[in-house]
Amino acid sequence: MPGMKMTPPPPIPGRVNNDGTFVVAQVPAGQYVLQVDAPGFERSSQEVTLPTTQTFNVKLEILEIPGAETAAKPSGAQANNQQTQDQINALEQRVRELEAGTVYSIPETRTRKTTVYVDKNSNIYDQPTPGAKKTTTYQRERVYRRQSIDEKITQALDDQGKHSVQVGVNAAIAPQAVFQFKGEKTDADRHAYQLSSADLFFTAHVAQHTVFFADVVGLSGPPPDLETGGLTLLNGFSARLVRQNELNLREAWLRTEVFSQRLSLVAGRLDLTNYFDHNAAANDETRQFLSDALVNNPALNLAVNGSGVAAIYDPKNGLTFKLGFQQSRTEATNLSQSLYSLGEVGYVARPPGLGEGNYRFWYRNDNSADHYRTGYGVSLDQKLGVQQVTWFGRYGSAQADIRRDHFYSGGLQFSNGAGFYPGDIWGVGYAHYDTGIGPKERLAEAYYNFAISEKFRLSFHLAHVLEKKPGQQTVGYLIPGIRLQASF
Amino acid sequence: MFKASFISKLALTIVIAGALAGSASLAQQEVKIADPTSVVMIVNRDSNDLAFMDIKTTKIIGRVFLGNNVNPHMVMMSPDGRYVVTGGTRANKAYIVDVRTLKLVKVINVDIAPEHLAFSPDSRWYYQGNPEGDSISVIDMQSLTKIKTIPGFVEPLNVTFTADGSKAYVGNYGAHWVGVVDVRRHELLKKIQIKEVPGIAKLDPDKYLGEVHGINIAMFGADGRYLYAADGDLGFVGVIDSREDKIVKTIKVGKDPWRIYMSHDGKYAITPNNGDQTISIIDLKANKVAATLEAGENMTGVNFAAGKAFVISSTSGFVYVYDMSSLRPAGRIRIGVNIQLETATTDTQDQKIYLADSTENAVVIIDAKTEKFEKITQNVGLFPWGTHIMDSKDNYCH
Repeated sequence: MPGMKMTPPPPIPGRVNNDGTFVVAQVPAGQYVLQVDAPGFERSSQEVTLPTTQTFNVKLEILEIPGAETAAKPSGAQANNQQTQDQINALEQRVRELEAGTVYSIPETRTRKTTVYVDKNSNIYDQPTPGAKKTTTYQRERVYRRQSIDEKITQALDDQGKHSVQVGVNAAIAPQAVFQFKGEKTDADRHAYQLSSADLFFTAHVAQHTVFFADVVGLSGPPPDLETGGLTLLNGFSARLVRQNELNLREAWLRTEVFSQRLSLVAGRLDLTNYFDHNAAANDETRQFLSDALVNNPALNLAVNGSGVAAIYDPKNGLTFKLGFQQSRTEATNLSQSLYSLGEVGYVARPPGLGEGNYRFWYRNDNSADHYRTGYGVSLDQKLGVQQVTWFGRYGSAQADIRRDHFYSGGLQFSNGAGFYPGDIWGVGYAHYDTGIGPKERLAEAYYNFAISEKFRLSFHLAHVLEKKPGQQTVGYLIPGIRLQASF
Repeated sequence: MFKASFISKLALTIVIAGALAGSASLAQQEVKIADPTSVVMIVNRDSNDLAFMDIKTTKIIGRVFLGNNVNPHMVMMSPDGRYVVTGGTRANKAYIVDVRTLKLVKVINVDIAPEHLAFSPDSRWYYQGNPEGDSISVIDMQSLTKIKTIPGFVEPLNVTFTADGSKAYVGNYGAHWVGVVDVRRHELLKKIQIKEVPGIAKLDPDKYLGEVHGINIAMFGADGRYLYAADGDLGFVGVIDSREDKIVKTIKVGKDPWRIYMSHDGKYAITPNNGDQTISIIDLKANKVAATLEAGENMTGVNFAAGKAFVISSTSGFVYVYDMSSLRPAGRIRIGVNIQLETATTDTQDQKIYLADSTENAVVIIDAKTEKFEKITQNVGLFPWGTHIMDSKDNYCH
């Protein structure tokens, strides 16, 4: 009966005979549970129906509490041979259990942070004491938690992992072919390409809430962009990397978290697109679209990765504020000549009738062209009424040599069970890019990404691109591709 | 000194106490807890005891030592408020404590590594899950004896009884099915598969032939008819119709959902997804995911109070907060640094949350409205693993 409150039972008169039997009278008729307690013994409990003249025999078993400071002992009268036999049986059962469990029975020791009070004579008190100062110290604590060998080994391996450098790999192979269907024939028509990429990640915890991270990437093979010469990259793997067929340091930074871990500070060689202009459905060339126009916003105009700092304030209430700057030209001799700065505000919203959506607005300033150029943009991803479908969109506008560049993109991503297998993702997207000086690009891409295993994915891509240059025929390409991606 | 008591099924209690021989002196047993709803129970793994904290004063008013190396895992009070029980994981025993006197009154051998447990609604049956024994021990709370061990489970973690007590549903964490137990016969009746393991899994033996993250618990929605069970490896929640014991719908949630938690208003359920550090909020009327929100690492529990959900991120030291009316993130509470948080219970007024903070040997009391908290460290015990309040809607363990 949930909510029933127990009240102390009232005493009723009873009689104890010389032979130890109890007689209890004046108990109203009904069903009862007869309970018998005695120090050092387990409770006896049985159902009885009153009235009755029946005699109830009660046998009490010894209550064992190993390690109890004042283990209750039965009186000599009860410590008979049967009890000794019961104890032996219990011990034998316990040995069997120990053998079955193979437990590590050495007491567990660990170091704990404790608060103590130290007076001027360096005497330590556990409680606040006049004249003693509150101090933090560390001391070993020993506890009796018996663990299995398996648990102990797992714990040791986890501890070792925390104190070593973690290495991760993200490798991808992306064969693509180009079929030109419009415009004056170019070198790319009917050519095949394959870009192989391998990122090696190194992560190490160097201090409290402080992490070192490095990403070394090797790219090999030609992507189609070298021959198609479009406004944006048809293979986003090589974005913001200067050299191919050799190792590149994509990122190397230290990140620390301060102010109750609300503010993250990242400094080192950065790829600012990892922190700004995020998009849940169009941000990751290893899992989503392959074309860079559906991974990033060209209006960001971030040509290369470089040294810089990013600050992210995230109170975990749906609002985020980000600020960052980085070197934007590798050939610059000082940071003042190539300062790229970026700010962003993000908000998690739930429009009526829709799921959650992320809305971001950014503004940037760049002096890499010897004078300041600004740009701004938005990036949003919004789950529709059905959680499996996410609509995404980007818009950007940037100052150019002549007039402004304008860019927008949009599309849909289907995930969370909306494919053949639960982990599959697929999507369609369109990107529209008009530069101020004239060239324009229209790109559409569709992909289907099979989650073959936790570490291995296979995706099929088809892109349709139109490149328009002033005074030239519009050139159109159809670009099928496959991406094999492994990460571990 | 023997003490005998007659306890009526109608809650009439009579106690007689007398000397063993000769003396006719009768004394009433010392009552330490008169109102079982007035305390928070705390299970301490390393001091091997149960501590009882008075809700009003936040003082520890009693403690029951269970024995060295017992390693108690989950504490629960019987619905009638008479007994508190726990399973000693390393002792392979169930421990029964009398609530009024805070005396350990019975120790019962069960199967290997008892952890989570449940009472039938009438308080008659105590089902103790034994994950390493792959069984459920059935303890009769009238005779205080184990009457049966039900075999055939695979790492049984949590048991949920139907409101009428006729059936119990058992989550098997080492498999992808929910077991249905006939409580009248204490027999496994049926196995309900949440969802077929995808055929593509043949290519991913590491995931599907490695350690299984199956079903932790099946929980009833507010209507008492449909149960919801999350499968960790599959990333799906299955909806079970308890009338026919069949799956009527599956809902895709995030990666590696730990288990499902029901909001107190019956509108939503939440799965903390440790695989991608998100939570999925399920609209129970539409049976679909209403929101997927960013969360923390190693989530061990969800509590509901003051119109919010509080999600415990064990190793980060944070409790993440979500507004359950707007289904938006509402900040996070930093409980501490370099600590480990375990599980929590909510008071019956949905105002305060009592969170076990194991590495600080503390219980953290969070005011759900203001989100301010107080740490109780005095005399709590070593390595508190879980808390429990009678009639709380958030009594769970991990």
